[in-house]
Amino acid sequence: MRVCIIGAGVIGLSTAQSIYQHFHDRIAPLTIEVYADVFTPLTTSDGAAGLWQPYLYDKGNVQETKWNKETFQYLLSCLSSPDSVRMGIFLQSGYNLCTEHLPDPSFKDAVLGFRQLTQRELDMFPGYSFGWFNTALMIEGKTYLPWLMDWLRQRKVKFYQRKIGSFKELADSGADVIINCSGVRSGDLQPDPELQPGRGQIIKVDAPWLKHWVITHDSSSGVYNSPYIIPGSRLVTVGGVFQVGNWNLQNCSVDHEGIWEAACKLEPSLQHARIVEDWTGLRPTRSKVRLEKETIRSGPMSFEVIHNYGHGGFGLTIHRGCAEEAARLFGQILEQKGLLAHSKSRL
Amino acid sequence: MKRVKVLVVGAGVVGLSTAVCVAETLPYCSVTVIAEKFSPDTTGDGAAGILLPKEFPDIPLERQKRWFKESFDHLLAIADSPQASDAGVYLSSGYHIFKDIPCDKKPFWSDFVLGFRYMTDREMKRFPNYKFGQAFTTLKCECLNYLPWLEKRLRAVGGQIIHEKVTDLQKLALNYDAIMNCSGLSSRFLLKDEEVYPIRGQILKVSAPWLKNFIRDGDGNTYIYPGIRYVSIGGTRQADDWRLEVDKEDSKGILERCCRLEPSLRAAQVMGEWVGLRPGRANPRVERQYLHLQGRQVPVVHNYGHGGCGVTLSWGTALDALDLLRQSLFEKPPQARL
Repeated sequence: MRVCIIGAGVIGLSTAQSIYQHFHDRIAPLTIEVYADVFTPLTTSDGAAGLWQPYLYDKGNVQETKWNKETFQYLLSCLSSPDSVRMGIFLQSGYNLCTEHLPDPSFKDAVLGFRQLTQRELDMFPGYSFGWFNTALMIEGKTYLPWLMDWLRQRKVKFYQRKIGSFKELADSGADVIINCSGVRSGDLQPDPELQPGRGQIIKVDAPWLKHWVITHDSSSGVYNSPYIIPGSRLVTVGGVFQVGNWNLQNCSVDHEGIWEAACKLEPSLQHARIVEDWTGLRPTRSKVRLEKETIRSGPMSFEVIHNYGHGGFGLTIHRGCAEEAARLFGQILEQKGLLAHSKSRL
Repeated sequence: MKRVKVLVVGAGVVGLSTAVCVAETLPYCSVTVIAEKFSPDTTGDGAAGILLPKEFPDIPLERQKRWFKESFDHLLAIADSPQASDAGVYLSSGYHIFKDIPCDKKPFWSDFVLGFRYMTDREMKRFPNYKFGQAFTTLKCECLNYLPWLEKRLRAVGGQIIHEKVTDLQKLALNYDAIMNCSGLSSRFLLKDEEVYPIRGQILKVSAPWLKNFIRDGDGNTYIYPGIRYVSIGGTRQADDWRLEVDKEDSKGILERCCRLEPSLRAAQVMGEWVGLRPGRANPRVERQYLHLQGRQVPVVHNYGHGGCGVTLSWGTALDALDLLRQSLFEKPPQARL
């Protein structure tokens, strides 16, 4: 059984991990290969601040809320492992600020110590009249992805630096199952009008006195289009913009000025912070995550593709839940092909 | 009105806070700070600087509340301003955990910190040996930044600094109209106040920049305070122990206890160790006395003995000391007596 995963961001790597964990001892041989033109530290996951937090509301996508929560629980359990620092996982508390009273967010039960902000706390943030405080997890792509690649390499997963032109290309070369984790560029492999880039630009600054994340919500500007400040393990990520349809990967001065001005208003101490660099990434934005099987016919042949893309600005937040679901779908394919013995016995 | 010459003895967090309070509030006073030690060599410079008071037995609760509230509000305004990074003042959230449920689950200061609440069951799960916890947001005020920042503020209003060890208050009183004694542990020698005693504290400075929240064991002996440059982990509370040298057994104990609370510390690099002597006293002494010399009555306002609550109460006690000074400058001093 040869599984080829397209994409080496957090989705591709974690899917490879889940498949290995669930099936390496149930089917032999199991060859897992990861194909990507971009690897850490240059993927979209690497630039993200790494705060575990879904969008405020799931708009009925209850599966996504379930996958988000599963990911949080998984990361929380990793916290006490000796690997936590090498995985880039740690706790951080912070503020969600709103310009109006809003219903409780989808993640209120997943995070720790969720509560409303007191008036004294709101007084620290002029312009915001309501909000929440909670402790969430950080998961830094620049650390997590290398850890995942190490984990996979130790288990003989192979990596190939190559841009894949089509699913057929891999199928022709002998792939039994293809897992499409190609993020924002999935449209190159199979047109998907629902998939759009959600361009984000961030500024990384040196401000080690900041110990809380602050995310603002303004219904008039839309998600992540209003300021946020997220301290990381070394630098602080300041954002944000969310420009749907903008494919420009270059940093833009106008965005920089807008982000910086708004952030300094939100956190006056930033004025004296040292700016290190800007970064631009394209969130793989979609009305909902595409996580499903597809049988693709190519002449007399057919091959299986599992799609796992479209995680918008919450890829790190949802990755484990989706990876486990992708592994479950992979299991269904194995069963259909009669490859799964019902007992786990082996020589 | 003739300029009133005020001498502040001590340049730690209490001394400089007191000097700035006087210099900024009383324009007719000229303020001079005299001390042997300045930042980075004061006791406060090694302290984590987390604002967390304890209840003193003999001071009216209203006064203690006022001391803490005024300190907290003053520093919160700085944390919320562009000055925050210069002054080294910022918000710090975390957990205060107890192995046994304390009698006072909601201490007097719970209203003055931000977002005070009890920890949830899920939060307590991380600490299996602990039965109860409080979660809140307080302030961290790092003297390595704060003291130089206060000194700048003092000089901006004409304050003067003298680097010299004080051994004789009476002699100094000859040249000044009022003295503010903020000499901390040295008050034991300067005033022969036997109630002042050292409470030795040792900490390790570790590099663990992924730690953002503090954790403190309610017994005060184990704590993890993430700071700007490093995380301070500690500690010890050894009464009457004057040793300023690092004790390797203490370091071992601190690392062991803190790693149990926060396993990720095992991956942290130890950058250094530090020892400080808290100016212990049953209660801080914030009161006024008079020195009688050569027919003059020189008011001496005492502001020392804050124990491990120097940073925590610095501004509030400075304001109190300022009040005592103001009163004495406008009152008739008591009749001279032997």
